[in-house]
Amino acid sequence: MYRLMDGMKLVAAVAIVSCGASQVVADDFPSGPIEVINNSKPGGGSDIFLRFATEAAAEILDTSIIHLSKTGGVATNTLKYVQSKPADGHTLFIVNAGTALTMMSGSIDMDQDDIIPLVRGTVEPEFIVVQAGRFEGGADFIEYAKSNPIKQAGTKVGGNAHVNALIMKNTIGMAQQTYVPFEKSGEIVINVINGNVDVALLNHEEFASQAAAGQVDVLAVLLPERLENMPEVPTGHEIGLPMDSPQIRGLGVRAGTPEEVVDKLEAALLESMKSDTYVEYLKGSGQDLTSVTGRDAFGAEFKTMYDNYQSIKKELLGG
Amino acid sequence: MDSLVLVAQFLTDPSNLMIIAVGTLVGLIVGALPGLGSVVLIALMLPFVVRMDPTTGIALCAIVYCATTYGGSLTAILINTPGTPAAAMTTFDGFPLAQKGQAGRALGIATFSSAIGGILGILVMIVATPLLAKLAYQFGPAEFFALAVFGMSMLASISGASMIKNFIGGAFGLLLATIGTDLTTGVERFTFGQPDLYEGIAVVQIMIGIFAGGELLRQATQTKVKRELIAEGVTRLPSWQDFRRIWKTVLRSTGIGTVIGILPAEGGKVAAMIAYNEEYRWSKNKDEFGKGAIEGIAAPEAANNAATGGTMVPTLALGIPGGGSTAIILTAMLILGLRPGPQLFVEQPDLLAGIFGAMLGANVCFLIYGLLGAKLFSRITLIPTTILWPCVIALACLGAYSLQQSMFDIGVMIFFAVLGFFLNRHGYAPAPIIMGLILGELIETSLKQSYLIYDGNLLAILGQPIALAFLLLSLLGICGPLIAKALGAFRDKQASLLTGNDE
Repeated sequence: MYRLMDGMKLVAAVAIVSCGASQVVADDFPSGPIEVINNSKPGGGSDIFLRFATEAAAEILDTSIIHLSKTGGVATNTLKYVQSKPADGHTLFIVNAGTALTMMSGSIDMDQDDIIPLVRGTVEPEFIVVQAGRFEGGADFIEYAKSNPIKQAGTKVGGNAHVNALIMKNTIGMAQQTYVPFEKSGEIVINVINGNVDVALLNHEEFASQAAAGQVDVLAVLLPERLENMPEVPTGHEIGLPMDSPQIRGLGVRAGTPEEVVDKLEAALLESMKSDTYVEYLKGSGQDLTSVTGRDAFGAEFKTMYDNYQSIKKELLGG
Repeated sequence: MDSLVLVAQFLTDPSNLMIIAVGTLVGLIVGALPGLGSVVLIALMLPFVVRMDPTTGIALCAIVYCATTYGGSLTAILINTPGTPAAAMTTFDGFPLAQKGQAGRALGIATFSSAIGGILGILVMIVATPLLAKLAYQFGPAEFFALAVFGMSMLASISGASMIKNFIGGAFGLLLATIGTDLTTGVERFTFGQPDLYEGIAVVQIMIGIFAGGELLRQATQTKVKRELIAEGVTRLPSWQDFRRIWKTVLRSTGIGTVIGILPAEGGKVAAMIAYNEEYRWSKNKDEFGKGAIEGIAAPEAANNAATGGTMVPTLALGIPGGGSTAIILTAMLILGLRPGPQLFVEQPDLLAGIFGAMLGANVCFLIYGLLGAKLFSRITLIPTTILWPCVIALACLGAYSLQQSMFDIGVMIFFAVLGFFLNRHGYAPAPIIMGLILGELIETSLKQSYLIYDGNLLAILGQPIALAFLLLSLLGICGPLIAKALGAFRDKQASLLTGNDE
């Protein structure tokens, strides 16, 4: 009799829990501080993005947010750390081209189905930048690159900038491309100006001062449409380089995180990114709130990026 | 002249003075803590800075940047642990001098040199930023390679140890610098499949290990040795004679620091190293170096603080950050709607005056804190070793951990502590290892970049005037003493022949 009572209690308890589970999970979340994992060094571009993106979220979710840097192997160490944590929404991480690149390189046992890209925070277009007066225009440069060796500057080999340079080489059909890697974007623009390299793909803030000073020319922006605030700059498509490579940054969680928690996080992050501080941050690199999108759009975008990288996998990994 | 008036206006506002006083204090503390530095501090401050009035916000960043650079010297002198990589060279003479019972003198020299170096660096900046910034354009990989070679040219004699041991130490430092994923090939080197080594070993971990850890173990073997330090001597500040002895050093090193600071991507640590080298190269009393020469404290401190002003030059005038901290300051400026570049000097004189004024104020402020505090801080050396050093090692572990919140880094630190102890025991000084480590990456990367840029023809480096000049200077630096020695011997021989006194 006693046992039967116990058994009934148990059944009743299970029934109650399963009915109310989803609501309970969402109500209890977050049950502690949320970690935000970054794959660049403290003070790097992604670190700064994450600090601004999540700043208001701490208040919205009524918890504290801890920023951690796990650098190494592009995003390998970040994803390894994420893998070691439970899929409960208390561990957020940066999702960018490096994430897709690391999954492609095979240095981590994860693919696109193991993560949920949650919200996108930045879309920074890349521009083709050359020494001032060096070329007549974009078409002139492309014509030149088809029959002359080109030295192209970027950041470390195997990283995002290198991959984009390879895509650019293939799309143009460059005769010969020598990729010269630098540690920092400041060095890249200097070496474009002093003629050590021919061309570089840069974000607007990396060359804006130099363009204003007449030291560099901007040949094109690698986007499907011209930018509203820079209507004079043609797109890559117009000059014969049909490629789009905006630098995308967002946040993600592990797949398997309860659906209600994912919804709550998405809503909180989207609201956080509507804050004045974040809008000012976006303005700093010539962006606006159109850069911010939720899970559906960002997920589809990440998938495209992932598939694109798979297509150049062979060339990048050398076989 | 107008700019100086605006600077004076900024400095007479009481609220600005308040910000300078508080910002300098915070920067000083963070700078003194091993592991944490200006990059982390400014990154943490960023969300608050961008809500401030633009001039105040950027000025605050500049203040903590100045103060952290100085703060690093305090722990370097007192507990042989550079608070920031830029203070590594300060340990070589600062700590031995403190161990001699002259901690107050060592701190006073460091404070004075830092402030003078910093202030002169900023004055140069106020007058000549747009002009100086052009120097940054001249530096490509070939020039950096030659600069690094020039830095390495003092390797053979940099410490009192034998030449062979200095070379071995330098080679070991170079080897350490190769650990991690190679920038130009993407190949992992000496990582043993360990993901924590993909990015290489941070200079901070190695320095904390070799300096603080090695010293702890050395002290542990000497607990029975009684040190008799008299409080009065320990807290005594430098004398006028000391200042007279170092003023030329401070001026020279300020020049070196400002110029190297302006070069993109190089900062205080390379500046401090080259200033120390040059001081040693031209010193008449080389024997004192490494044992507590006050010139050996003055040179790196003047240079790394002058470099702080220097790195702001390309940041403000070109929008090209000279280092990690200035990269974040640049981001803050962009968020605040300020566009750095040549036009900034015409359009925003108030902002620039604010930044220059804040930096000047910070330097004066840490001069006051430093000289007042030296009497207090120097007493740390009076704490019995058995109590002090366990505290130091706890601080060292915290410092190693804090950068990436990783236990692996503590392991790395302990490994280098043990290594540092044995190296020291067998007569290998840390200076050449640190030199190889800091300059190694620069040498290798710039050489490979030059190889790519000049299509494999490395002789083309000699075709670059600046690079050629540095390489010739290095050659002169290496061969000069040998030639002088040979000439001297030849003259002696001639003289003895003439006097017929040949034995």
